[in-house]
Amino acid sequence: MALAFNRRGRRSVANGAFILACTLATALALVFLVAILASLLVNGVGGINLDVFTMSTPATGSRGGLLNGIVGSLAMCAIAMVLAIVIGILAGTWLAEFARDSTYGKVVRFTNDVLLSAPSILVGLFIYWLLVRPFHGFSGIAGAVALALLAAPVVTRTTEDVLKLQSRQLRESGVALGAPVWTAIRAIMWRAAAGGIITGGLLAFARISGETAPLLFTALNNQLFSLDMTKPIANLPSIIFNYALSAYDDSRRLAWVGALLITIAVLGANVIVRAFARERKRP
Amino acid sequence: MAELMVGATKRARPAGAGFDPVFRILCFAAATTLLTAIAGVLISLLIGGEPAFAKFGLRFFTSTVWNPVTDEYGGAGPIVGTLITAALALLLALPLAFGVAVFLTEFCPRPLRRPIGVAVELLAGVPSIVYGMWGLFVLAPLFAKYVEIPIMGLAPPGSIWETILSGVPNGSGLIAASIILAIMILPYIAATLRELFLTVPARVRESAYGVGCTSLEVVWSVTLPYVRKSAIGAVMLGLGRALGETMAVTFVIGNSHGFPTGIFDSGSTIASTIANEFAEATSDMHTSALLALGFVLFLITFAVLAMARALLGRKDPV
Amino acid sequence: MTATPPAAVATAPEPQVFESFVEAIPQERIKLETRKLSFFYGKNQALHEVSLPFAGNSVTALIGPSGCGKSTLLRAMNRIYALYPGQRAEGEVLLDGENILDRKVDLTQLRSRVGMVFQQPTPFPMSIYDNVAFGVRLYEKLSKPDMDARVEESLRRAALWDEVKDKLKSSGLGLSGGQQQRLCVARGVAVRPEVILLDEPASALDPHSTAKLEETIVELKRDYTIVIVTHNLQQAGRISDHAAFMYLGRLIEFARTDRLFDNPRASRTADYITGRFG
Repeated sequence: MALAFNRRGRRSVANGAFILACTLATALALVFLVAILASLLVNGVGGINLDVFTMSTPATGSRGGLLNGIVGSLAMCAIAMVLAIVIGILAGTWLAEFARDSTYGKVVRFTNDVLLSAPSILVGLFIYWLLVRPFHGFSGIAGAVALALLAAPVVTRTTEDVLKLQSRQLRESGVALGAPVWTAIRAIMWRAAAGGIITGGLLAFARISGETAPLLFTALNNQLFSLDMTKPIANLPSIIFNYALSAYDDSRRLAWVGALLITIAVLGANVIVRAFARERKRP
Repeated sequence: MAELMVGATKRARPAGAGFDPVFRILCFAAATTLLTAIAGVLISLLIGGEPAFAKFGLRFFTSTVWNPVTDEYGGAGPIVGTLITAALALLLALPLAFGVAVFLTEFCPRPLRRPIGVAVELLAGVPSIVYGMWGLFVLAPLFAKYVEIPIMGLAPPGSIWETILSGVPNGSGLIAASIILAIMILPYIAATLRELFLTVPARVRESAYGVGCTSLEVVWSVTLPYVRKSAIGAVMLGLGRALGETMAVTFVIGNSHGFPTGIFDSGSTIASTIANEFAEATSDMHTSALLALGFVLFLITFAVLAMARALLGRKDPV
Repeated sequence: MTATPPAAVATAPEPQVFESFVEAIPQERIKLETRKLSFFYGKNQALHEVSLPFAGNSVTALIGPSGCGKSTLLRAMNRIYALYPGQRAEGEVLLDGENILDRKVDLTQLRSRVGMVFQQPTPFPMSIYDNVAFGVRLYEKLSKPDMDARVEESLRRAALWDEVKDKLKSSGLGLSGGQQQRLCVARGVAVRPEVILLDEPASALDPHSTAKLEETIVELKRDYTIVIVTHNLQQAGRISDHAAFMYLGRLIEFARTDRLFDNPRASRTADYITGRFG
C-alpha cells in the first residue's frame, strides 16, 4: 500500500514538474517576443519623425531619413509579389488540377517544399550569377527576382492546398455546363479558393519584406533616391545592415527605425492573415 | 442527318475554349520554373565554385586558412561553424519548442490558446535582420556581462578549461549566434509540433487518460509515439532553417575565419561569410571560394530538408 | 484530387455468364443511345459492352448495387471523364445519331447539350443569379432583361423561384442543401441542354427536399431527356419511365419501369429489386 502510494506520489510529482517546465518554456518564448518588440519600440519610436519618410539616407553627420529605402523596398516587393503570385497561382493550379499524382508532379511538389525553407542567401547567389554578373551590374530587378523566387513557393503551396480542399464535383460541375477547363478554373475554382490564395500572398509578402541576405548582392544598396530598377536600389534591409554596424549614433538610430518599420509591416501582414483565417472559418 | 447538323451547329464554341491547351502549358511552365530555380541554384553554385574546388581540392574542406590577401581559401572554419551553431541551436530550441507545443495542446487554458498560438507565430514572423540587431545590441552585452565573464572567471588558470572557455568576452561568438538561432527556430518547431500533436485523435489521448495516465505519461507514451516520424521531420526542418540562416548570425557571430578553439570564441558560418564578403570579393578566386562554400551549404541543407520532407510530408503550417 | 474508380468495379471474376434482357424502344423515340460501350479506369474495365437506348422526353433510371458501373455510364455520356488522363471509353454513344465519343466532337459544346447534376450540391461561389447565368454567359450574349427572364424561367423550372426571388444577389452558398441542389438543376436547365444527367442527386438530401426535387424532375421531362442514377429503388419507381439494371459493369435488364419492377425477366434483377442482395 505504501509502495503504491509512493509510486503514485512520484508520478504526480513528475507530472507537476512536466507541466511547470512546459509552462515555463512557453513563458520564455513569450518573453523573447516581448523583449524583441520592446527593444524595437524603445530604440525605434524615438527616431520616427517626418524626415524618415521625406528624406533619403544621409551622409554621415547630416539630416536624413529612409525614404529611398522605403520606396526601394516597396518597389522591389511589389514587382516580386506580382511575379510570385503569377507563378505561384499557376504552379499551384498545375499541381492541384493537372499534375495530381504524376511523377513529375511529385518532383515539383517536393522541390517546391524544399525551396520553401531553402537558405535565402543561396537564392541570392543564384540570381547574382543569373542576372547580375552577365549584365555587369547590381539592379533592382535582380533583387525583385530573388525575392520572387522566395515568395513563389509560399503562394504555390497555399494555392495547391486550398484548391485541393475544393470538392471534385465542384470542379466537374463547371466543366459539365460546357465551360472550357480554364474558364471553370478561373471563374469557379480560383474564386472558391480566393481566401486561401490571398492568405498565401500575405504570408509570402511577410516572408520577403524582411529578407536581407538575397538583396546584399543583387539589389545592393543606393545612398540616393532612385526608381531605376535597372540600377542598384536602396532597400530597408540593406540600410539596416549597414547602419546597424555603423559607429555613428544617428545611423544606428535610423537602423532601429528601419527595423521597427519592417517589423510592423511583417507582423501586420501576419496579423491580417490570422484575422482573415478566423473570418473564413466562420461560415 | 439534318437533325445531326442542327445539333452540331446549334452553338458557337464558348469564348476561351481554344485557350485550354495554352493555359495548361502556362501552368506547367510555372511549375517547371520552380524546379528550374532549384536546379539553377545548384548549377550556378557548382559552376561558380568549380575553380576553387579545382585549385584547393580536399584542402578546401580541411584548411582553416581563409586569406584574401594571399588568395588562399580553406573553408573548414565556416563549415564547422555552420554545423556547430546549428546543432547547438537545435539543442537549445528543441526542449523549449517541445514544451511550448505541449503547453498549447495540453495545458493552456482555452481562452489563451489562440492568443498565445498567434504570439508564437508572430515570433516566427520577426525578420531575421531584426533578430540580428537585437542579438547584437541587447542580447550580446547581457550575455557578456552575466554569462561569459563570470564563467571565464571560474576557469583555473593554465587548465584545459581556460582554453575551452577562451575568447573575447564581448558577447559575440558561436554561443551567442547559437542562442539567437535557437530563438529563431523555436517558434517554427513549436508551431509544427503543435500541428502534429493536434492530429492525434482525441479518443486515443482520452483513453490513455481514462486508464489513469498523467499528462506526462500521455504525452510521452501516446502523443509522441503517435507522431514520432513526423516530429523528427519537424525538428529537421528547424535544423535546415538554422543551417542556412544568414542575417541573425552575421550580426553576432564575430566573423572570424579561423577554426573555433573555445565555445566563447568568435567564428563564422558559411552564410555569414558569404553575406560579409561576396559583394566586395577581392579576386575571382575569392568569389569562387565563396560560391564553393555556398555549394557546400546547399548540399547540407538540401539533404536535411529532403529528409525532413520525407519524414514530415506537408504537415507543417506554411 | 485523384479520380479513383468506384470500388470493386472490375475486380470481379471475369468468366461469369450474363444474360442481358433489353426491351426495344421505337427508333424514332431514341434520343441517346450507347452501343457496345466499354469503359476503362486505366487497366480496370468498369463497363462491358453496354448497349442501352434512352428515350427522348422521358426519365430513364440506372439502378444497381454500388460499383455496378451506373455512375460510370453516366459520366461517359457527357465525357466528363475526359478530364482525367487514363480514363477512356470504347464503343459508341450516339446523341441524335452522332457518335459523341468521336475525337472531333467539341467537348464544351457537347457538355452544353448534355447537362449534369452531381451527388453533392455544388453551388458556385457567387450569387444565386450568377450561378444560373454562368453557363448561359458562356454561349449567349443576352441583354439584361433577357438574362433576367432566363434566370427566372430556369429557377421556376427548378421550383426554386418563389424561395429565392427576393435574394437573387445573395450567395448561392447560403441556401439549404435541397435548395442548393435545385439551384444546380436550374443552372443546368438555363443552358438549355437536350439531355440532363443526374448522378444520385437526392442522396445528400432530406425526405422533404427529395420529394421537391423529384417533382422537379418529373416536370422537366416535358422538355428534356433525363437520365438519373439512383440507388433508391422507390425513387426509381416513382419518377422513371424506363429503368436499366446494371451489375458488375454489365447491363442486365432494360425495360419500362413498371415491367422491370413487376415482372423482371433476369433472376439477378429479381433478386436485386426484392432486396435479396445489393
